[in-house]
Amino acid sequence: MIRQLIARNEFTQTRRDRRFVVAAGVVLLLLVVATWTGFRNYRSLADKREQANQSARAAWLGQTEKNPHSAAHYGTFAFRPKSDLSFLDFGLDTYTGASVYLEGHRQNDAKFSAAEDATVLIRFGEMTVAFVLQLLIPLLTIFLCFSTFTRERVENTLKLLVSQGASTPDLYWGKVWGYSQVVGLMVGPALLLAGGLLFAQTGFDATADTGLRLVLFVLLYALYFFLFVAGSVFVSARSSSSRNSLLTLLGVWIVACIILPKATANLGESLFSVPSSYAFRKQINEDQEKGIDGHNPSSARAKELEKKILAQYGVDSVSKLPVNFDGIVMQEGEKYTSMVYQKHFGALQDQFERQNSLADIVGFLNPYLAVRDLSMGLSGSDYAHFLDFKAKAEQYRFGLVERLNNHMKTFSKTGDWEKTVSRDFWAQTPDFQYQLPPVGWALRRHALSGLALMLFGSMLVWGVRRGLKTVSIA
Amino acid sequence: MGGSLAINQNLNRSMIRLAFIQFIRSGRYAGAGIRIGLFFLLAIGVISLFVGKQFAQQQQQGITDVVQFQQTDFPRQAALHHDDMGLLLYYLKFSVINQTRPLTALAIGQRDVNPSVQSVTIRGLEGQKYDADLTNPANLLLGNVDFSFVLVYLFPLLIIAFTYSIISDEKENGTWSIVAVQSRHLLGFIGQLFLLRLAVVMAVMLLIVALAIPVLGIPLDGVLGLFLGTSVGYILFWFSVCFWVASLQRASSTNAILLLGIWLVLLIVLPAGVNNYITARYPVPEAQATTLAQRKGYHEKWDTDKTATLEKFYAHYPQFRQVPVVDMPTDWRWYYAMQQLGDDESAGQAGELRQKLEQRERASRSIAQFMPTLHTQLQLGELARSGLGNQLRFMDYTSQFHEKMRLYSYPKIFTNAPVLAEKWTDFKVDTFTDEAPIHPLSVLGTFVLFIALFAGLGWFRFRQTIYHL
Repeated sequence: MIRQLIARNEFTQTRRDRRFVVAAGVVLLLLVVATWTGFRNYRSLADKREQANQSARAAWLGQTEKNPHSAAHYGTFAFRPKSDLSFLDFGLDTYTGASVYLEGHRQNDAKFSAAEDATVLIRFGEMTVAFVLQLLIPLLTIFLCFSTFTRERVENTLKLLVSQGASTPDLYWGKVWGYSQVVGLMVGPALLLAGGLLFAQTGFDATADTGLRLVLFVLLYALYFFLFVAGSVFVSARSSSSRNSLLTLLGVWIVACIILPKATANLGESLFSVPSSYAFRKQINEDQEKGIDGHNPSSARAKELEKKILAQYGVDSVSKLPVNFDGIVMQEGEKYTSMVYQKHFGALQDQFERQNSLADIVGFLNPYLAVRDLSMGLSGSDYAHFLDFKAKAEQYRFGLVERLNNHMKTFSKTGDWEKTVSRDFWAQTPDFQYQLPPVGWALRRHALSGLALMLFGSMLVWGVRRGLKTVSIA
Repeated sequence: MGGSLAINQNLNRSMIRLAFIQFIRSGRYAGAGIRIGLFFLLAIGVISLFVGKQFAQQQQQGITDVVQFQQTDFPRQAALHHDDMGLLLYYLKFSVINQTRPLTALAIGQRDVNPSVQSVTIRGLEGQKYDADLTNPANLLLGNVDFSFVLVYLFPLLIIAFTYSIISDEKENGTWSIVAVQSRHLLGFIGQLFLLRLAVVMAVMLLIVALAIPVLGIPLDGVLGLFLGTSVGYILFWFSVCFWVASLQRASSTNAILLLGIWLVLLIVLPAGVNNYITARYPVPEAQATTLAQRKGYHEKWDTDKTATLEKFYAHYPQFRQVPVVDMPTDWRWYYAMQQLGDDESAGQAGELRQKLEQRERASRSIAQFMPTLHTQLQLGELARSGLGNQLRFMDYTSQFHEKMRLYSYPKIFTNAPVLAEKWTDFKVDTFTDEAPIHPLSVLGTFVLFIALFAGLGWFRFRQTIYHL
């Protein structure tokens, strides 16, 4: 009862504070602008990618009569569709390639990231909803709460409350609840707008998965703000003066939200180094020629394959084969190079994931990093979703090239590179359709960050309970 | 009269000495906090040098690898395709390096996003131009703790912490009236308080740069001078802002919130907003449009009439019409004509992209003229050759280089010149040195303007309010 009274009092007082109303208004405005521009940006990118995918498919279908292997060289493109929630958190999308060129004989890396086309300004960060929620709301929370105990201590109003029968935990949790309501009031309208836009654009037909992602997104930030409110009020309770409280809280904000994340990235990079792109390409070339184990050169592999196929068909020379031997050779070559690429790209991605896992570990001490990680995961703009797209594009590429090679094998004779397939052949190859993995998959990928956040939250509450015992009211 | 002046001067001098001791040592006014802040900033400054060093070493490694790659790969390929010049040049990748200066390690800018080495065959350029490096997008998003970050983000915080309560503190402790009564030149005294802190902050910045010179091997030239000038200008800008806020004669907590609000707007909110604006204002046609057009332009030619393709090629390069046709296992003249036309037919899209990027670069520079924080970041990037401008010039150079290699190779291919007559180890990796001029006035002008503005406003305001006790 008394806690609710205190909460209501804080809530009303804050709303009456002109300075705060102005600051909150500005943040709310930023949030709405970020939601709106983020959504527009998302729509235009999503449309462009959709069109690009269609025109890539149209170009593939529009091919003339040609040899299947020419088509493998012509290749096609896979454009990464934007995930529905990525307008709330752009995450890595600005820095990851938007498309992959799919062709025979080789795996290409994703190319064309938005960051390549940007000035240095982009490194200050982008004005997205996640940016406001992760950085600015906590800062506003700090300004809101830093003097809540220290000011009342100076004004001697705490004693009054205590004489009414309020205990320190009553005061503390009442204030926390009151400020949480204030923060909710600030963030709520923008999130409603975001939800509205999201469902409007899908014709109020969003999938359950998207809905669930949005709900979790909101819950995640609710927890994040609670941590900041609880922490700020606690620091205020323990501080001797408002100034000390403010300095402490701002110091924490700057270290946790600005310095530590960057430093973690730099440390990860120096702990887990990756080869230069030339050393990388050289290794791939060498593995292709000399064999993955270094003892199985391509010439030996070719001889072995020839022997095997001749025995299989019971003939003594390639020209007597009933099938096109070139098709078989190319398919076997494709399998081998895929293996080589998988090995090297796999190792590279593992190394990058090791670098990133450092941030997950630091997330146990710094909830900002954990929230950031989960937020990107829920929005589908993290590294895991990017790798998922790349893997599926590669799967599609391999299937496509395999189909072309197998067709080559059966429909023509060895050495015939001139025979063409009819134009309707292209429509028989399936189209590339990318499906975002379900939310459960995303959560499993970020279980560590979720755990970190839970643990941090529990530790904070435990620490607060202990710490409150020694707080002097007067 | 003269005697009292001397006493007053003495008094002033001893007050300043006292102020210094109080600033650095006193426990009463967050003196410990000041020392911690100074140490912290110095430590991060030193860490930033190692981040820069690591970046420079990675760049160096990449360059060593590519030089070695080209030196071993060319003779090997030449031996493999010793009778077919056209096939050999199909495979050979010529590399160009975007020179990394030692100064780049202080302001890494976009250099971690854009590759510093481009490798191109003489085939269609557009399909090769946008190859990216092997980078971890998560690290790119977080960015680097380089010197420019420390300077642009963290130095202002220290300056704010040092100055937000210079006068308000004395007022709140009731000592201001004593100071005011005892000092004849009160404004001069306040100025000296600021100068004192300015000297300490400058010393920290100069110390970091002085350490950077041997650690990163930075040459002592005019560019470093301008780099330092920008850094000094930026620090002075923040001091002038703090001076102005102090002149408003508000309470310490109001000053702190006001200054942090300015920091937040200038470093977090406005840059992100400006970036959003520029991205929306100058939408780039997706770069892959060029690649798609190039692929289409080239592949279609397989099904078009040979002579039509060759005619178009000769229209572009009349000099090759005269080169007599020799018998080759593959019709390389036709093949490279097709490749060439892929580029020619996507030139429109490529030019459009180039132009949009140029507009973005120019727009952000002119907007930055009015925001010293953005201006500093952009100028440091420009001086360190790590901005978009440098990247565009490097792309242009790569195109020229590619054209040069094409013109060198075409006659050899068309006549099927003997491969082994060429000394393939002589093809060194090319280096692009960015020599775009930078005018000191455009670098420093903004600072002069803003410093004059805020210092002037502060001085004017102080003259009115200084004796308000």
